[in-house]
Amino acid sequence: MIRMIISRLFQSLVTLFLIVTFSFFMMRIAPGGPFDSERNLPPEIEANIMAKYRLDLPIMSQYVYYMSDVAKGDLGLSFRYQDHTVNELIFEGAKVSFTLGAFALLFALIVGVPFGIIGARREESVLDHMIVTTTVFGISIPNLVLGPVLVMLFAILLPVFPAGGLDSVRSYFLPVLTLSIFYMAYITRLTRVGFIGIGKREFVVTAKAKGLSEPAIIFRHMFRGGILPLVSFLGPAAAGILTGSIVIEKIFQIPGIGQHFVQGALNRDYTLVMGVVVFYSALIITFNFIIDLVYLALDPQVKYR
Amino acid sequence: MKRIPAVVLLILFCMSCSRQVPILSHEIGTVIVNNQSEPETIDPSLYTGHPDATIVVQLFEGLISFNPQTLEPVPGVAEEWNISPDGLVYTFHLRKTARWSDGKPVTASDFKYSLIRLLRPETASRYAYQAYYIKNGESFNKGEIEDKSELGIEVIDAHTLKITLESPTPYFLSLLFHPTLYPVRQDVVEKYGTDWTRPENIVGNGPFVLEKWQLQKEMLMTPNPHYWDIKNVKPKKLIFYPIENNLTAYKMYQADQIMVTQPVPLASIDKLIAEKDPELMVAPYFTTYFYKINTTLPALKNKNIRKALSLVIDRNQIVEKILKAGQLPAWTLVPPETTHYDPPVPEHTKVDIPEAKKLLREGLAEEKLEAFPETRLLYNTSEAHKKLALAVTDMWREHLGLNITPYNQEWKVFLKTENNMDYQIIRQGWVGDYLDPNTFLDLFVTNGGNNNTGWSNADYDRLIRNAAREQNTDARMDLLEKAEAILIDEQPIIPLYFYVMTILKKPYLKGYYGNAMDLHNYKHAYIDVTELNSYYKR
Repeated sequence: MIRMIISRLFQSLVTLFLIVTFSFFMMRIAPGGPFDSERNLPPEIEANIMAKYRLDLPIMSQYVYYMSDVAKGDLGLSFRYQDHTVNELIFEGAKVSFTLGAFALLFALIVGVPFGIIGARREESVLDHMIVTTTVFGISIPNLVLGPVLVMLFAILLPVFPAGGLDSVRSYFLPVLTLSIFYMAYITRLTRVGFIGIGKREFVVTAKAKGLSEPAIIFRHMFRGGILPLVSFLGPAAAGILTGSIVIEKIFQIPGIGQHFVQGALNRDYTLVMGVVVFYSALIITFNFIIDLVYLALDPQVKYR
Repeated sequence: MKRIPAVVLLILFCMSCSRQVPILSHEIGTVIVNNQSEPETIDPSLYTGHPDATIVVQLFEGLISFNPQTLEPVPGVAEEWNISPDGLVYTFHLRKTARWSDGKPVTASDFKYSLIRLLRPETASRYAYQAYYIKNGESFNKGEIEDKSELGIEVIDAHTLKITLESPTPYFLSLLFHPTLYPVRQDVVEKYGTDWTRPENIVGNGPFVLEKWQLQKEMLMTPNPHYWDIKNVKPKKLIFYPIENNLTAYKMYQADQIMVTQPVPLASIDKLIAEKDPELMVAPYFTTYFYKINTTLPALKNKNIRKALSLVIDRNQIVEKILKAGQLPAWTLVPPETTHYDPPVPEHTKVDIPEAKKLLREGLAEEKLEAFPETRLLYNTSEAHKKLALAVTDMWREHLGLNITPYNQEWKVFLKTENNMDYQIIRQGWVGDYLDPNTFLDLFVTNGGNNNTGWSNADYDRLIRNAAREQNTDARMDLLEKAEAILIDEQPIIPLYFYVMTILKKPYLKGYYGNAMDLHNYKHAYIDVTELNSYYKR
């Protein structure tokens, strides 16, 4: 067990190193630089700026500088938001995205898991069909459409919630709802599939034959096995939902971390993009690692040696 | 199951009972506006984007300020000034009541320090060239001279500053309200380094002080109690939201979260104009949309061919059918907002297809070309540019039988392509840096940093150079007009239209004006409480 953890930790570090190296060079290959604009600068001014940000050095020494800073936990100054460090931008953004994502994921689980179980236990009933149909909508309506529709309905026609910004508890409502719908639908389906699968196993049939009540069968016998598909989905899903979504952030004017990824790349803000890449990959690796441990606890068939 | 919709409705109902207008939850007298984007930096010497400029204008004040409607230079920190007869030496008399936000007086040395800091190569300021008009400013910034006493900046006494220019620059006063030239405080900058712009450290001399700065969320300002003109600073509080998405901003405006937003989303303009919405303001904007032509290519180096291309583009149709917000058709480059300047009357101001066909034939014959070579039109990725490119290439196809294909590139790639002149025809929108025709016309001097068309004309260069030395306004404008006439006749560019700024503004917000540079000093803005109350009692 300990050996497994140590070897996984080592693998994670190697993966992280490769991702960072790869993205570093990818960013530099992209045409255009962080300080290009439609106002061309006199060459001397451009040289001054390049020198200030060490962009005048050969690419390998830039890489060495960057990696040694990252190893010290310093992601550098943002090339675009010059009054702020990347650490600060990521920390401030992550706080918001984490809160929003955690609420959305929790909401999705609270609604999705019960409906998934209900659907599975009443397979092929009218109720089950209704649940399955609804999830198809949930999965296929893009946030880009859902968000503005919700704003139109609940911020402008029936002015209950703010249209954007994050000023009060109330302003979390619409973005959390928008963000969670897809996950809710997906979780419902995964739970349903997991429970249908496990429901056909002999030990469940036996439990039923013994005359156990439905809640006892579900919670004591089926639960651990039934949510396994969901658990393996939750790792990447949590990493994705917690690191924010550019779409939600743009629609609702939310100061999260998701927009840094996209805007940062478009602006060629090298340090910011790299910072987000480091952060995001570290998060995914961590979550996958945690999920592996949870799997180990839940599924007796999985054994690490 | 059946109970759930009922519960949801009940919750919504309860929440709607307690519904408040978000704007009214702030202290009355608070002005809340959209600043369009998170500022990149609010250090005056380093600023680059327009959102940065808006913030700098509230927190700092230059020697010269501006009239919020006409943008004419008005006294700022300098109470009065003298200009030497040769137009080279400006002596500014600073008002003795000018104070920094910590109460210390604003002195001539503060301005000297700030200008030197701006010009130091290691400051790496992008807009340092705004100070190249100062004697030796350019050589100092380029590191050619290191002695700062050679700069044309001299402190006579604490309240008198003398600035000597490289050459007489008739629009120098207008340049001085460019936020790059606003003062910063030496001790604060040196003590806190890059952290000096944080709310807890920053010291400014403008009408407002920065209370709170939450990244990507909001900036909160309150009046600066030490500001010399504090009795005329009207807002109790000033809040900026950095809303980039026009649609989101528009929705937040509708939901009464902000009082001003711009630009209005394209999709909504039609409706607002048709309904004559009283909250919509359309203001002129000192910007021109044009296509640039790579004049080094076989066919496009021919003037007649370039003229033929311009002559078949129906600008009226473009502004009326595609843009629809009151933009003006452009056959010349300099937008109409400049005072004292009469643009040249071009040979053509409407579509002339037979003439265009003739010019094209002549041009091809002159270049000994059988047919027009394969050509493409490049724009940076955006729905609006795409629409326009499709319309224009359609006109070229229909009237001249030319197959010119539009294609797009992402912004930074686009800029690279433009700089390397790897294009044939390319779009550009140019925003004037200061309210003078020169900001547009000096783009196209031979090898100008932003020319990128390969076009060069000795007469044009000479006229622009002479205009820069001419002190008499009328004579100078004449020279610029002659230069523009050459540019339009030679047609290395095809002007399409002059921009407008579409603004939505709540009727109770007063003292906010649309102006050609979209520059706003919010000390003039205020809330009309009676109108505010009647607006929300509808």
